[in-house]
Amino acid sequence: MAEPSSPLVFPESPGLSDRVPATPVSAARNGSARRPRQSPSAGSSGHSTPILPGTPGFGNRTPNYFKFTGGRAREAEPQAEGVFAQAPVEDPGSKTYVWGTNISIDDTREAMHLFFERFRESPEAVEAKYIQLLDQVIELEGRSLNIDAQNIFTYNEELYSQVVRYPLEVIPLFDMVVGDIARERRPDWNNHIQARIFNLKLSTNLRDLNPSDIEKLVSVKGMIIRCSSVIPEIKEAFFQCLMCGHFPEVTPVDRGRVNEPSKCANPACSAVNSMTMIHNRCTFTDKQIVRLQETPDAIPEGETPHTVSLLMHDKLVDAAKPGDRVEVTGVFRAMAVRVGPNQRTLKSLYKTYIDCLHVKKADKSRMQMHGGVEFDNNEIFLETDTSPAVYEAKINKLKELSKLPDIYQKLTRSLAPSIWELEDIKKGLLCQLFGGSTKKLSSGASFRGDINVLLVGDPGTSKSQLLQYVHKIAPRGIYTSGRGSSAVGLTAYVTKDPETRETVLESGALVLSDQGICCIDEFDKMSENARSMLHEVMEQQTVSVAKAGIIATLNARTSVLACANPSGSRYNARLSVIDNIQLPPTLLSRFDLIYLVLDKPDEQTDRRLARHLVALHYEDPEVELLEALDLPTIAAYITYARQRIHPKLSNEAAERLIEGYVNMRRRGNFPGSRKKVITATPRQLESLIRISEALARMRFSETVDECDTVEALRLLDVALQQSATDHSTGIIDMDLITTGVSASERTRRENVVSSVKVFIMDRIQAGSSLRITELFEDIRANVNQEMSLQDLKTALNTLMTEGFVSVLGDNVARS
Amino acid sequence: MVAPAVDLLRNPLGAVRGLFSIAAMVASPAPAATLELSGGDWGIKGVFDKFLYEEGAIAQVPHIDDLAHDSIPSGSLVRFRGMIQDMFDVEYYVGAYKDCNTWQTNKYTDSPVPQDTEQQIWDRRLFYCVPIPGENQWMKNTWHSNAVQPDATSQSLKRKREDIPATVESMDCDSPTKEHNSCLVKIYDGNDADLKLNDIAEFVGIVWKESELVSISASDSSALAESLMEDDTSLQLPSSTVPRLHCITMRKLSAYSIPSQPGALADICSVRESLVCTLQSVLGEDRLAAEYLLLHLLSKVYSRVEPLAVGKFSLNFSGCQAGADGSVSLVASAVGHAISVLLPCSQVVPLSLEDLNSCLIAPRKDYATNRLVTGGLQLASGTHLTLDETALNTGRLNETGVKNLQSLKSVMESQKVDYDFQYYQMEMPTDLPVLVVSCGKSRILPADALVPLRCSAEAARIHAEASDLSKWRIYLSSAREADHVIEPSMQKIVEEDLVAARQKDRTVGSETFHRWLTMARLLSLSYSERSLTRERWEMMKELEMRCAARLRETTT
Repeated sequence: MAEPSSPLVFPESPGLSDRVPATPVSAARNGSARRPRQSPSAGSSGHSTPILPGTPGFGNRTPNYFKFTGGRAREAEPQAEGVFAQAPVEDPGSKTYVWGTNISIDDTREAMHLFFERFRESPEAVEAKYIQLLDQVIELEGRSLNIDAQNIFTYNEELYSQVVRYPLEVIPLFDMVVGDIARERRPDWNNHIQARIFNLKLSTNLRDLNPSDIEKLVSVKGMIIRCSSVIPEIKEAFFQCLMCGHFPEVTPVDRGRVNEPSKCANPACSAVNSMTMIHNRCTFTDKQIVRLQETPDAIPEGETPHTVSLLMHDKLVDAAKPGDRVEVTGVFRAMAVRVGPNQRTLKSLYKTYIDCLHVKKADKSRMQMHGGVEFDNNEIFLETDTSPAVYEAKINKLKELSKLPDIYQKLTRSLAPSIWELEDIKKGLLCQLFGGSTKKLSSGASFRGDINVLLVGDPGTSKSQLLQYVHKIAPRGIYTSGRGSSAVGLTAYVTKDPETRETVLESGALVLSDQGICCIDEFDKMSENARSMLHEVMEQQTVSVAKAGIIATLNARTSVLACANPSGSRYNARLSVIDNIQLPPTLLSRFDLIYLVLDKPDEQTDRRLARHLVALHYEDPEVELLEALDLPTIAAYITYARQRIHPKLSNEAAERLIEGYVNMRRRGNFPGSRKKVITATPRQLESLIRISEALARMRFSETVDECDTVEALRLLDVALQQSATDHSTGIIDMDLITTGVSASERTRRENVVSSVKVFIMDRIQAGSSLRITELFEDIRANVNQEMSLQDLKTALNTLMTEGFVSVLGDNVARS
Repeated sequence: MVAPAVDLLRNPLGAVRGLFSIAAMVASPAPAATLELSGGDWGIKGVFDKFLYEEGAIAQVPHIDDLAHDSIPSGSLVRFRGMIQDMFDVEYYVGAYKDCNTWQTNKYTDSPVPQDTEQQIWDRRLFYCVPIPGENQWMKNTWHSNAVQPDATSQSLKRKREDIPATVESMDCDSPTKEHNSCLVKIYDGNDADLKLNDIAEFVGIVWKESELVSISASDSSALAESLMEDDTSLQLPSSTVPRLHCITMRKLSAYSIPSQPGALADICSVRESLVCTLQSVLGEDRLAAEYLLLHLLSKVYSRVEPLAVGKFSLNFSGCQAGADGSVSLVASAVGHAISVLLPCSQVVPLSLEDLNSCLIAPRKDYATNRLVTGGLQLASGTHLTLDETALNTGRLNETGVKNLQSLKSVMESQKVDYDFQYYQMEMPTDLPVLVVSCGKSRILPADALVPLRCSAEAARIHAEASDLSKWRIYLSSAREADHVIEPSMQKIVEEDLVAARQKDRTVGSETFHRWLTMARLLSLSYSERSLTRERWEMMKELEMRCAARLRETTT
């Protein structure tokens, strides 16, 4: 198939072109007289080349060359006035030039040939890079060859500037040269190969495109917001005579028009007006109009994003979908708008669009957790990530950061810099953000890598602010308030408290965030129902939704960051954590780190807080935040670490972990005491591993070293010391978390049971019964032990299971 | 630059073309120099600025919406005051073309150009501007009567209009009528540098209407041209309803400031006292609430430290009765009315379930039309919002309703509105003082300060002399704009005080401190003092103490 988009109108061989009468090759466009063309010059914003509507895009590349006699080659300087508008004189010694410049077609072709044949990425490379690539394209019967503009620049700066400044003329030359080389490599090759140039040295901000960029090669970044449907555009028309069935050669489309033969070419037939177009033997190409919008980060504060239309051809059609972030390279063009059809006056407006050459997908949004490079061999023009150089630079910056000796402190400082103190809690949150690595055993068992954190504390200790902050930098986080969350569903209900007449919102929207952090404020106010869902989420990492008889199990690989107020609004130091939070122990034990954010009266802290706030209100507060990393940097740092760093436990670290764990457990054993207090459980060991991994990630270290485990032990210790201290003994007691009852409490209960048993044996004859209240009074009066009615009932229950007594309503009977 | 002898008012284009031809003539010997013409404005802005502002001719320039559209001929000089609601893409146009060997300019017009001429393409920016949302009638009158009418006659007229009850607007979606009175402003030469979305500005320029109601068909009806035209936002706005204003010069305005301020006020204290007294009668003789309301009216965000907006002071009046049969509560309407005659821009919004559920109040981008669909929260900074929570009944909120409440919450908490761009949210900083009127304490919309109302009389509408009103307006606007500092010695005292308060009562946290500091600042400003004094600090604590006492009473 012959490609009409190949430079049909371009004189094929230089030798021939010397003989060709020197008229502009694509002289009269749209039937109008040739307009003087002014070469665009950098820096000026004026330009005088209106491209009329219907100007073929890159689907049909129509170069605009002009031929000058050798002596009259113009300087490549801007020329207005159209001095050379007159028809050039035919001269056998003339050279072909790009209109309005001193760029010689022959020289340029020569330069391109050299570029293709000589360019090697490294001196050691055996074969030229693009010859190699071209061979691949030929092998695959491909239609396009990607050319890295940076390569052109390294090889020949002049060629690069020619491509960028006169793409409409120079790129078709590239096509031709590629075609020539392809035919050299495989003589029977007659497909057209498009040269797709990408990765310009300078990428223009969409906002900064201006009239001086018209007809230049530009590269812009943005997000696709709308794609038109695919528009078929006819390239070659096939006609057949209705009378005799004769068909001539296909008729190529000439600038948007098809010339229908008026007469059958078959001399035997010669019927008039008998030619009809056979649609399914015509060739069409695809075309699509796509709208590109600036990426959010390029928009200055307080402005709305700009957009630009893109014209896509052939394989670029549907290469990107709405929502994709892309970098496109193409020619910026303008098209005049006419007042009405067939009118000679033009509206003074121009519509601009970018005729695309190359589309590069660059999705590096913070959402992306599995940021592997997706590379599709079939569509070689699609690449992920930004230009390697920019990307490298960014990564290098992050790596440099990671090498700082105080990166851990720096990150801690940068986390919610407006919140004072709470160092260790911030460290815990950092660990959560980085996360441990998920382990999957070959047996199918998997261990979560997500770290769950619970903050319990007095109101007004900026817990919510911490949550908000984490939510902001966390990859894919959701923020919800436990108050009235209904776990599933997106609706909410407004209710009125009948007594206080306060309006309360029962919001829904606990749509769990897979691969992210779920921040739950007011965890204690969460309904039992919604909370029970979290059990599954926090250990199995799935959510089961039952709806219409179908139970669906969805992935919910999420870390939970919850904060709760103590049940009595203020933390009661005399009660245990469990009593203070009133959360089921089963749920509590699933949190790796539980912090008490207690407001301890400390004048020093208060003074710093006061000074900080006064400064906030009266001075320039920017100054003291300089030390911290900014939010995008932290977010990038965390995303990179989560994607690329998967640390492994080193032997020393493992030793240290075991040692630390054993120490933790040993703390419960007192020599000479029979009482056994469990200070750590295997869940804590798992937590320790996760936290150490997160700490290693912070340093971009591939191994978990001893220092990480030491810090992990410290962090866990800090968290446990605060939350799992048995207030009657002052010892860490994991039983407090796992069952809600401390070891000393358990012993006390056992004592109660045995004394009640003894008492009942004494007082109640087998078969007779006694009222519980009477029994209680009796025991209170006679037994020298502190006991509440509740204690008695618990004890009776225990005895009942033993079969010692039976309780019927209010009566106790000995069986 | 010699101003050409043309009537700038009646024939502004003549002046533009005159200046251009002078510039072109100077440049003409060198052909390349014509290109230079695109950059400069050939002294046009200077000439007009001098004419309008120094010679005071601005008063003679008609307002675009004062006139019937048909009566303005294309090419006349008009002005338009509005808020930038949307920013369209840059427009490329033929800036200059060569007609018989001389360059002609097409700047500041939309007139067609002959084909087949040598042309230069220049660009201009397009802003879609709407009348300022929530602008109160007196403010409009002030602007429009600015010079056209002498004060004496307009005064009575103004009074009459002010008596119109406060407009109660539900936060409605854009209705078709919204396009009414809007204007497409075209800005040249990067004069837009500091204009942002939701800014208020007065544009002076040349109005242009297309001579023929063009059915702009792209010439070749080729698919490409059509699809490109489809996206053209300005096509959806026919120039018959939305006039095009080619802006020559403009002034950025703020929503707080009122146009003419005849000197400083003589006796700040008495002005303040009379205003508080009036507010007191509006609030059913509740002096404490009146003091808080005054501070609230003076508040504005003066700095941002993520995630905080320092300086905001949202207020919640609890203990208000709901209005009869779902109308706005008495307090809300009385306060709303008082604010509407005091502040340039304000809105009263009853939070009813139906309204909340029906349409989004945060603006969103509609990619089908490529326009920003406005919402109730797209307001100029400084616009006051009175939310009437008593209108909220028990019932189900749908997704829209939940989003709306979240938007309101984010305005109250951090003075930010999330604009929905479908693929992402764009945070727009804003500055809308919010007053919540509710039965109990509002749990949905947490305000910075909560004052339970103690009305000893019915909430009454504001009654005041016009002279008092104008004094108060000037007082509020100047106090709002003033700067404030703290002396190091006072800073010490404040710090000590905060520490002491915290030692005494552990519930006093950073929230309380923020409120105190903001209130102390506002209190000083209300007395027109530029630095914090001990006296004001103590006064603030007194107010807070009385308020806290009330709160205790209510809860017990």
